[in-house]
Amino acid sequence: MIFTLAQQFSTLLGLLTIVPTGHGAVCLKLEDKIIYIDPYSQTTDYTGYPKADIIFFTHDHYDHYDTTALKHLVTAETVFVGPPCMEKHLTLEKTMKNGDSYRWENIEILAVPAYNILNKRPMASHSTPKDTGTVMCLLSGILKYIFPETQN
Amino acid sequence: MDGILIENIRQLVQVRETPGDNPSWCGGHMMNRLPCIENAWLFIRDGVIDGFGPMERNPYREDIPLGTTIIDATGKCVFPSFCDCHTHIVYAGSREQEFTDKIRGLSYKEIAARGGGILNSARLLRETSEEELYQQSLARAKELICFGTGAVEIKSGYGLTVEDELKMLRVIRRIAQETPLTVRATFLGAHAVPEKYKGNQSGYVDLVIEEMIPRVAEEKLARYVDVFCETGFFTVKETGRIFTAALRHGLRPRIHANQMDFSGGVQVAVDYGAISADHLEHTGPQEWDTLAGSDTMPVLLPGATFFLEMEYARAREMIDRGLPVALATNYNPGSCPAGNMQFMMTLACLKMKMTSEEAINAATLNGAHAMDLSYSLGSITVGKKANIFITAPMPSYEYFIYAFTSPLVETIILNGKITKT
Repeated sequence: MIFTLAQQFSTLLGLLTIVPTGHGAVCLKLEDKIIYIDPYSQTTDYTGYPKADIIFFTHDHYDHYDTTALKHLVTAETVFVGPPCMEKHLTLEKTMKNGDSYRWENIEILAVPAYNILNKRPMASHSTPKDTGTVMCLLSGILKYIFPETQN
Repeated sequence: MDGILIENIRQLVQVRETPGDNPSWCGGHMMNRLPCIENAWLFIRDGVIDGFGPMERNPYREDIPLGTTIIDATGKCVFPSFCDCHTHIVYAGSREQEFTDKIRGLSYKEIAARGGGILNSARLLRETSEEELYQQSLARAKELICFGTGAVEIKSGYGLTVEDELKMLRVIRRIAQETPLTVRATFLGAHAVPEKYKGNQSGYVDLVIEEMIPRVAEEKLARYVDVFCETGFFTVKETGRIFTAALRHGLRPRIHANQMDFSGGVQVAVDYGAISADHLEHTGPQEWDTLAGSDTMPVLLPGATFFLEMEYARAREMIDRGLPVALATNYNPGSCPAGNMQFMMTLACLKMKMTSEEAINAATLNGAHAMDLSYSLGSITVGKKANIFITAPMPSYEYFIYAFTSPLVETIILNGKITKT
């Protein structure tokens, strides 16, 4: 049972189910549309998960662009959206730089910069906005942010 | 999914652009060009080189992917693993007795004429079980890995009967399956004429053509067919017959040529589109011009020249005429019981007047080309297989060739995995 009642919300676009799948990964079901963000096989076994209509990638590190996870999710109809660094890996339906917006199936998507507040490395402390171009989704004002690589 | 991030690398050696954008080998004055990045990072993802660059533009400085192994290479260099495109590491026993004979003054030909040499190895191999042969050869394969080699061509040629040649090739296949080395197998039935066929050399060539090559091709045990084309071994005409049969069975020729004499081996190799022509101690302008108009990679084996105390191939003149050269160890029990590419590069520089840059290109990119592997090995290139090694702390890549007996290979990564040695 992947989509449970507790994860469901009514939105202007229909019934939305949100399944956090660990690390930066999220699976969304909006009515009959299946949306993935940064699916990652180390935190979720995607066997049995529904095939993707669209997959968003925030950047091309292997914990965000994971070909093992994609094997379970991609069909010939799946479309990909991501920043320019993803173009060398996949044919993107839409390449998004920070500040770009894109409309897919009545869903408005906006790309905003990502940043780390805490440096993961010992002995370093400052934070900088990333230039990797992280994609955020704004679902017609209902769901505010999906932020796989940004800390808050 | 897994990743390895190597950072603060003093010199990242032999960096080339994406595989399709650069030539798969370099020749002439281009051999003296060795692209490097000072103070670099390198990221490996799922066995493949995923990215590299100078530390000041390191996208992994803050955002380290989950589950990444981080290696600090401060003061150390990173090389692509060596591509040793000519070895005979599958053999039984050893031949130090002949080494002693040689010190007493006997020549290679005299030792061969007394039943030593290749025929001695053939006798030993026949008496050794396949499992024992594998164990002995595996130890040599592991030795090569410790020296920084990641890809190796291995020849048969001590069997000299149908069954024993196949036995050797099966052992080569097992090394490919059970070690992290990338292995290319070569059938070298025409290495020497076995005792049984003395006085009937053409009969043995018939056996190679009619029985051995079809079996090797059928069982997919080798990719190449080699011939020892040399005065006293196999003639140019016999070599041509064997190469015709090889091509008919989809196996590409390569050759031992011009080691002892101006044998005509280079010309026949080029005529049949050999991937490489190896040895070349006895070559001059005529052979070099032949090679210049071909796809055949000249492969030099200074370790054998050193051990046999002969004249070195004229690498300086070959490169100055625009030719590429590759370096290999020729690791074998008779003429070069040594598999260390570091030493071969030192010999290439000292004895054949190659530069450090030329020697490293010859031992990596050009060696890969001589095994049809430069699309995936031989340089630090995004998309190529992650076969690399990290050195001990050292001031520059030249030091690796200069300090020629220092064990400078410290961390070995083959197929993207840190290899325990």
